[in-house]
Amino acid sequence: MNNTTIYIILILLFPLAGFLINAFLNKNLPGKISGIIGSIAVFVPLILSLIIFINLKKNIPAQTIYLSQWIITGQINIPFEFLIDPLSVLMMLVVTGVGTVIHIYSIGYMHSDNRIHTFFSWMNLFIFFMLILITGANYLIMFIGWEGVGLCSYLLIGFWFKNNEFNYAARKAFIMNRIGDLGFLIALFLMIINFETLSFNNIFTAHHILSQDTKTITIITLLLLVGAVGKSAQIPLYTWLPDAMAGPTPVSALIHAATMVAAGVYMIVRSNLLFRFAPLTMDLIIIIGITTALLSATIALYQEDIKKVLAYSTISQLGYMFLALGLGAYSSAMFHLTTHAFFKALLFLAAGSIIHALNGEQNLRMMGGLAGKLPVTFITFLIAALAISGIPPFSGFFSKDQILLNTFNCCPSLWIFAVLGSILTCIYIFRVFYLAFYGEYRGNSPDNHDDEDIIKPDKDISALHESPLIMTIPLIILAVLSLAGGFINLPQIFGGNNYLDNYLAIESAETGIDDTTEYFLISTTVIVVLIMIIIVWFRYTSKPAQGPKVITEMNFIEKMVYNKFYVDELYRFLFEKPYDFLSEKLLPTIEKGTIDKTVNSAGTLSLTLGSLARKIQNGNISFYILLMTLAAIAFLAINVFIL
Amino acid sequence: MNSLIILSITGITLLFAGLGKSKWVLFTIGIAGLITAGILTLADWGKNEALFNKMIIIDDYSTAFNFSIIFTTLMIFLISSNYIRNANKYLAEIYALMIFALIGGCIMTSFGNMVTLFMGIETLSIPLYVLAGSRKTSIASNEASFKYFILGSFATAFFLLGVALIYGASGTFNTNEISSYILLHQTQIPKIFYTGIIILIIGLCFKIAAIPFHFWSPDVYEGAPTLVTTFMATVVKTAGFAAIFRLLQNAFSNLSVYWQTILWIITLLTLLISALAALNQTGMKRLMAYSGISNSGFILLAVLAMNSMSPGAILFYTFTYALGTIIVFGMIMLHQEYTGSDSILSFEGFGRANPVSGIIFTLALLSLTGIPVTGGFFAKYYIFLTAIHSNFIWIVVIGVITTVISIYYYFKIINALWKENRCQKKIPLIIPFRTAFLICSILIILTGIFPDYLIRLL
Repeated sequence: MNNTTIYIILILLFPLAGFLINAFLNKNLPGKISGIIGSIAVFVPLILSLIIFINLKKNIPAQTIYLSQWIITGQINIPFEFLIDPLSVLMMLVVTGVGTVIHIYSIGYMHSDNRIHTFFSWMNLFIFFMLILITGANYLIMFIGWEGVGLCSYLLIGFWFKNNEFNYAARKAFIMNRIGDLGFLIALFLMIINFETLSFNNIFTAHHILSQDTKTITIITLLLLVGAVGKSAQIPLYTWLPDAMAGPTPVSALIHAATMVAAGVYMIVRSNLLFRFAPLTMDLIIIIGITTALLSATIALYQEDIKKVLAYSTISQLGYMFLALGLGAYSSAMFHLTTHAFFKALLFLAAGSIIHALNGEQNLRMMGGLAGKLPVTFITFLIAALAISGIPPFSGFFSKDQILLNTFNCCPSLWIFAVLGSILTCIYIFRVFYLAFYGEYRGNSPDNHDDEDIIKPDKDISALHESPLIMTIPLIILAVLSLAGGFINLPQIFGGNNYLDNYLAIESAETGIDDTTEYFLISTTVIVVLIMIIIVWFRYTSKPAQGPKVITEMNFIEKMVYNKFYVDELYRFLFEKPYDFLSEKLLPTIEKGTIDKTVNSAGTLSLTLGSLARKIQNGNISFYILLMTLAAIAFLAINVFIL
Repeated sequence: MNSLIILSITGITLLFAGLGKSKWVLFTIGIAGLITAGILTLADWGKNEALFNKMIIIDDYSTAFNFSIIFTTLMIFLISSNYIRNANKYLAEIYALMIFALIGGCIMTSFGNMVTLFMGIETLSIPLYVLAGSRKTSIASNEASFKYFILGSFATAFFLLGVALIYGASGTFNTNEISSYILLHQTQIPKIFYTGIIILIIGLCFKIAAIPFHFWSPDVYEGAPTLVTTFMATVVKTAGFAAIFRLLQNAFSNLSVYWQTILWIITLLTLLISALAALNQTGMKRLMAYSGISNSGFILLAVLAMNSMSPGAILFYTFTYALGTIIVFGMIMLHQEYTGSDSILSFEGFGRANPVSGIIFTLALLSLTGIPVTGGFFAKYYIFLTAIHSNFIWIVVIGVITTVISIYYYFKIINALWKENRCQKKIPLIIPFRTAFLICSILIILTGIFPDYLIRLL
């Protein structure tokens, strides 16, 4: 057993131990201690991942760690194995790094909740499954993690289960994900049939199948894509993610922004050697990516709930990653995944800080003028907003710029749409920024309450205060990462050496764009975005105390967007209604009339036969001996006459 | 071999120790003798020797089965401890007879000659006839003893006739010589030889309670004292299967096509009828009798398959089955002592009143059903695998169906255990009981998680 094996076991064991301790010893622990245990359970894996990262540079580029046999039937051999390569190490660093920060933040955010132990146990369990997903060396291990994170996501979305709407949101997330999981699962079966293995190493080196059987590879990749679309909330399976904001804000930051939703992207990058052979799938990914990016960015423009805006923004950014994947720019996708994990986690945590200060208020109409009251939140939110808008030198600029360049390289018309998307991005994020931090505080103006069912106690602006250090320090850490994270892959034109691309060493699409064009493209985008920020500034801060537009003032198109293009309603009409109808019709006929009757009569038949068999046993020895002799004679007769 | 000597000494010592007053001395002597015998058996592992002019053959097969039945008897001794508390007058005799029966069982697993096999069977059976009637004042016990004796003699007659016919044809009792006789005279084997095999199989099927030679089993299981029933359901069954497989493999494997048809019919009848008959039972002991018959059907599948996987599968099945059975009968014994009833209804609420016992009981029943994470699952799995390996597909399908049926009656008990019932009282467990239950339930789980270690032995 070498060092890496021990590290990987420890990396997996710590979150699991954290889960078990918090789940079973919870009665004896004060909330703070359980939070500290939960954070340590993620922090230690972070240190170990760093050690692996340092070791990996020196040694062989990738190693498969074989732990034990698992499933062996016929030709198929699926061991318990883990893969340590640059890709998985990068993901491990992102998950444990952002995870640690969010766990620490949660100690402050959840301190008054009396189920804080449960919260931390599930968070640890999530990290455990996420690490399994990342480090698995075959698709089945990945699938364990895949299902596990889905479960944790379900549990944590419905964490405040007393609210029925939250439970509904949890169920919705779970069911939507099941559709994706089904695709993934069928892909696994097809791989077992065609490759007779699920190990990455064996599948990606089976060139004779990969290069010849394009049809099969296309079907497999399409099914994998269904899985990725479900998990990463892309069109058409994206509607669960906005509802998933029902969970506590740290959950939204960790699971529904930084890590789990990126699992689909990770899976496709991991399988890039398969997707290379399926150009059709790649084109589909481009279409899905760009459409999702634009559609959800548009919806984000009109949302009133601060977390919903961020949710749609996440979907939109994931759309960018998919766009990169479809273009074959795998390392750009991973780069954006990393920087997005930083700045989107930061946006969520900053939003959480606001919500915390406002006693659970999430509606933008109730905010405004918070800049002076929450200075740390204000500055860190600004950094994140600049990062997501792609302003240099913030991290989002470099990663998004790479994707845009790749897009331009492929087809300039697509580039226009991608730039349009980044303009929308800056509009919706600065809209939130100005609405929350500028203008006047609207939380105590009575005319904003008219459509609220429960009127929250008005909070005086003077009573608002910044969150405690345990919450602001994580914000600062993430702000530094959002600011500087882009330098891990500084492109050549800025004097860098594309460190991340070289580190990951995934064969990605090359951009053959010369420096002049590149300068021109970059400056165009940045200038347009900066202009938009200023326009938005005037729109939302010119008049005092202006909140978001009220629905009665909207025109038709605005109403469409405000209602999220009625996609949820459409799905309800297309799927839920017919399903309900069918189940109502089938219950009396098929279920009760046919299945139940068949099953019950099988039982009755057995019981009747049973009582017959029982009658033979009448306690009379002569009868027994008679039967035994008859049986013996019968057997001898068979012996004589038949055999 | 050393273990047989130790067991004999233990048995005789127990009879003498019966003169003394203390029952715990008997208990201690029995336990010590069994542990020593168990250790000596383990020391025989890897040996391969023929003793007494090839009448006894010690090999890994016999060692493994001997250890299994000695271990089982040890567990039964542990749960016999409430006999001591109730000051049973004839404890010395009961213990001694049990040890003597065990010696018979050990001979049955290691015979090299049909005469030794007969000796083993009779050494096992005669003490059991007495043991079944050991509750002298109970009419049911007397009746069980008498029934067992009459039907047992009847079966012994069959067995002896079979041996005689085979001797008449081949001129030998030695199993290996019979085997080479078959090879040498392939075309000119007389009819009486074939008839002999059939009659021999019938005689042995009585011991393992295969249908249609099972009639003694429900009546005797119900009437005999529960401790004796436990012994019959575990040690006797294991020894019987070890013997029948060893005989068929060593002597008659070259004629397997021939006797497999008969055994196939017997297996089919055993699987189907036992599962159906168990459905309507209301008494626990009677139900367990049918469950035992049904399990015989499963083990017969491995005997029928007669391939290299069979010995391992039979050992695994008999061992895990014994573990579950000991727990179930132990619970029945305790319950009977406190309530005087063994009907399934009387168990309602047992689990709620005694949570730990209830969980162990449930675990044992799950293992008997064959639910994963218990040894019982892999027991059935390996049996089916073995049978499929020899292309017995359809009878495996029947086996799976009867497993499904068996879920009904096992879960009927589990259901009763956890029902709401306030009349149920808490039953205290004395230390020997606890030890036995603990060891058995740990082994059930271990065999369910690491089946490889046991299955690879043979």
